[in-house]
Amino acid sequence: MENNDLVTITIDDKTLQVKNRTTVLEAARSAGITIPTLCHHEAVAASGACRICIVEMSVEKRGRTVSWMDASCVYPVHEGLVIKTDTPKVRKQRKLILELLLSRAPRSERLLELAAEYGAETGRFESVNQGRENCILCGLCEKVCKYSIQANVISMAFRGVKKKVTAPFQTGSSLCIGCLACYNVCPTGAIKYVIEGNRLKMPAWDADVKMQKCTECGALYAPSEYIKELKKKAPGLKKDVLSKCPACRRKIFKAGTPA
Amino acid sequence: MDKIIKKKDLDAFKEKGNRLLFADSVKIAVQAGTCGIASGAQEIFDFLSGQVSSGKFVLSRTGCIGLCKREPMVNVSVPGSVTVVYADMTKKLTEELLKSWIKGETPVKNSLMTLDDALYANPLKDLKLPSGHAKYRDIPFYKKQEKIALRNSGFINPHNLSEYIARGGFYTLFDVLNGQDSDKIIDEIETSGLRGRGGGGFPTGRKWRSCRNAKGDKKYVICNADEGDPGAYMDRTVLEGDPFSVIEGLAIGGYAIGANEGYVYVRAEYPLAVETLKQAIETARNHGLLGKNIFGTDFSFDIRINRGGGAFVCGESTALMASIEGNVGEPRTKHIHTVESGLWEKPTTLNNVETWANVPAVVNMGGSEFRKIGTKGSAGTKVFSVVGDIVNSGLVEVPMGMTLKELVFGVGGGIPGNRKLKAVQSGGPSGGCIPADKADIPIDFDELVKVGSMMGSGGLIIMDEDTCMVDVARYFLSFLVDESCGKCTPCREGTYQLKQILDRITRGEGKPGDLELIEEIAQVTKDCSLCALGKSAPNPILSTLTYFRDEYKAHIEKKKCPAGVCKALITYTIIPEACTACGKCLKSCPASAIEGGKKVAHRIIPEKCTKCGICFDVCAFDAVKKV
Ligand SMILES: Cc1cc2nc3c(=O)[nH]c(=O)nc-3n(C[C@H](O)[C@H](O)[C@H](O)COP(=O)(O)O)c2cc1C
Ligand code: SF4
Ligand code: SF4
Ligand code: FES
Repeated sequence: MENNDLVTITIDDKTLQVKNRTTVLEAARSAGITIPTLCHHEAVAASGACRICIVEMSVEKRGRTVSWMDASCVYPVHEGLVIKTDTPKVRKQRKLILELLLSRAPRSERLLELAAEYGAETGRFESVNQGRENCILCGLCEKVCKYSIQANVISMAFRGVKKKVTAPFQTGSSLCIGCLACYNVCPTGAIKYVIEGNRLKMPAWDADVKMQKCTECGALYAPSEYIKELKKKAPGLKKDVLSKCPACRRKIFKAGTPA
Repeated sequence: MDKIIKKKDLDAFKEKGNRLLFADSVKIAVQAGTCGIASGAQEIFDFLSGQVSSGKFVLSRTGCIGLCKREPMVNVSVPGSVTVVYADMTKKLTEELLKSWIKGETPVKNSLMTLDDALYANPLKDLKLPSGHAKYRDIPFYKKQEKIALRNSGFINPHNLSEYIARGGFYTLFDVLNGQDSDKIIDEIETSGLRGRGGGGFPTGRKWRSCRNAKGDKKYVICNADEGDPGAYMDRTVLEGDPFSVIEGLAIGGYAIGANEGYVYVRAEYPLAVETLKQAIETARNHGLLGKNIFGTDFSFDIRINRGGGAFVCGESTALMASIEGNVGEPRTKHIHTVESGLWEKPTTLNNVETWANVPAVVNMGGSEFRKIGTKGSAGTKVFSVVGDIVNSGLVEVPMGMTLKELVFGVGGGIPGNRKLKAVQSGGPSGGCIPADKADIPIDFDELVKVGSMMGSGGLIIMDEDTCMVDVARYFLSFLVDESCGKCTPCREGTYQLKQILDRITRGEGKPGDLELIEEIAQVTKDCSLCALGKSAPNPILSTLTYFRDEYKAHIEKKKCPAGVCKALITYTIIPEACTACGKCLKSCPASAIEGGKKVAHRIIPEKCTKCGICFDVCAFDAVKKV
């Protein structure tokens, strides 16, 4: 069967046809069904790490029903797949996964929101304080930095509960361009940044980069290295467009200067 | 170097090999696998090396023949006689016995047995059985073993290609490449019922067929020699004792699925295995058995070695492939199978060392012959490393279908000190504990799963009545907590929290509800983890909870460890009436926690006692009590 062929599946009693090998998560979303996710982001390939998106699946095999749990964000659909996204078992298992994650990230707003929805309790488990506060090791920051930005500043180090995201050798990194992609994808708000004077600092990676002044109004608007990168990636843009802050840029566009 | 192209070239090597194996002079072969060397084989080898210039004997080395408990071992053959294996050897004994050996005599001192079994027979002529020695099948340890994967280990020189060829090696590859089509070989493997020996027991033929049928311009075969299970050394022994069998297996597999490149992923902690394999690959290459146009046919095939850093999870197929690619060794979801998209996204067949070592034998004897060995669902034999509370610890290969009991009490010689068997742990760290009253089940992939354990790769830990099952579960879980890659939540956090609870229970801080909580976490870890490490990690807890729940309860409710293992839950006291004031315990106590004097009954000072148990062991009057 090729990937463009349609297959028939059932999600929460709705029968639908979707392309072979689309993920269960995509299929569910197309049917208007919400499944919680943490480590899934459009910007990077799904890894199936957090397991919050688990669903119950089953197929008929030789007259018997075989069912199992799996992560919907990575599971590719196939003919005859029956999916249940919100059974008592699914809810119970998501609740426990949340409790396990809360033992590591007790103050994450997103987790607390989901905890309320699934009745997850805090305090049933010992707290785990091996890595960064509130980090659930979803891996999104690492992947976006490596594959989308291609800056390769951070990666996972160590194994098991000792695992953490860090710059090489757990020291600060001079490679960070301050793009804040990691900050933006982080589901738990574990990555923070501050602007002090003309520097942008990200304590998580010990990054400290210079902010660029707008050639028009003089406002600090983005890290210099980031602008350099953007210029490299979009060579077609008229050079000085990126040297101006967004507000000034808008003014210029309004005045009809072509980009 | 002379290339092997025609059958007559193989025949020439065979003849040479037989002359080496069954020498016309006195021949001494030291069993120098890692296990042998660890118990002193190198010293014996070095001593003999110093004597060899006398010209009175030839010196060789071989791998391990399985009975590790009795190493160092030395195989001695005198002209016209069957080889004698000497056990528990030392340099001094070697020096002494050498005087007789070079005279063509084989004294019975330290003799273990003769290699008179059909497996080791001289194909050219009958040899005389030296008198006074035990025969191979007289030894309970070997009586019921059946060697296929270990057919050559401990007998041939692993570095010598002609000795391997003399044992029939590479003839199978020759026949396969000259005239058999690849589908026929896969048919043969499928008929044989061979299932993977690395853990999962997946049917090898089916795996090969899918890989053969998968679309791809390039395909790979890989040998998994990561062997990360604590206490397991089946694969190491095969690589150290018979590396050519793995090379031949990989070449046959490569031909069958259409791959020209093979990898052996072997852990770097196995330096001797790596070195032996490296040399064997080079030798095979030099003689044209690897490389371009093997045996003058269109088939080209070569093998590379990849050394792993010793992470247990890198034995998992997708993590292993990521590691070969140079990425972090973390598993990925396998919804697209590695036979379709494996190493560098090409169709890949991964099999375990023992599986590959079986391949030439299976093809040679034919699938239906192989299927006759073992049980309906599990054909052939299985190699186990038997360790723990067992008389004959070592490496055994037994036909599937033998009962666990037979393996423990027959082959293994039972439990030392006539203590009772409590449980057998099979399947590696994420296997299960099978209680003594279930030990009459046959060794079989599916039967082991039915009782909550699994075959795994062949680690077998025998536990006597002095074993605390909560402590055992905690031990295996600790290993898995350390080895979890940490990618997915249930395995990373779930195993850790399970271990925290077990830690508490063994410290005497168990609470009502703990067992239910354990079961809740275990279920999620089993159902929702990404790879088989997490999915199977709860097995040690779940199996011990099934069969030894009362032991858990005693820890939690009564704060007692029935086996007397968990230190926080036991106390040592001296019974004054029984104490003769001999002073032995006082002298032995490393914590100076015992007071007493001449004719004064001794007493343990609880605050100082570290519960090491030495006083308990040394007291000759049974005056120390453990409660
Ligand atoms: C955590 C983990 C560790 C494993 N370690 C090994 C290993 O050390 N050696 C091995 O052959 N298979 C190991 N396996 C099994 C492999 O993933 C794979 O199934 C096997 O190598 C396939 O070969 P087989 O079909 O010949 O058994 C491991 C699996 C898991 C999940
Ligand atoms: S810092 Fe945020 S994005 Fe990065 S791994 Fe942790 S939770 Fe995920
Ligand atoms: S189950 Fe464990 S070893 Fe496997 S991916 Fe998850 S964390 Fe890693
Ligand atoms: S969202 Fe699917 S595993 Fe994390």
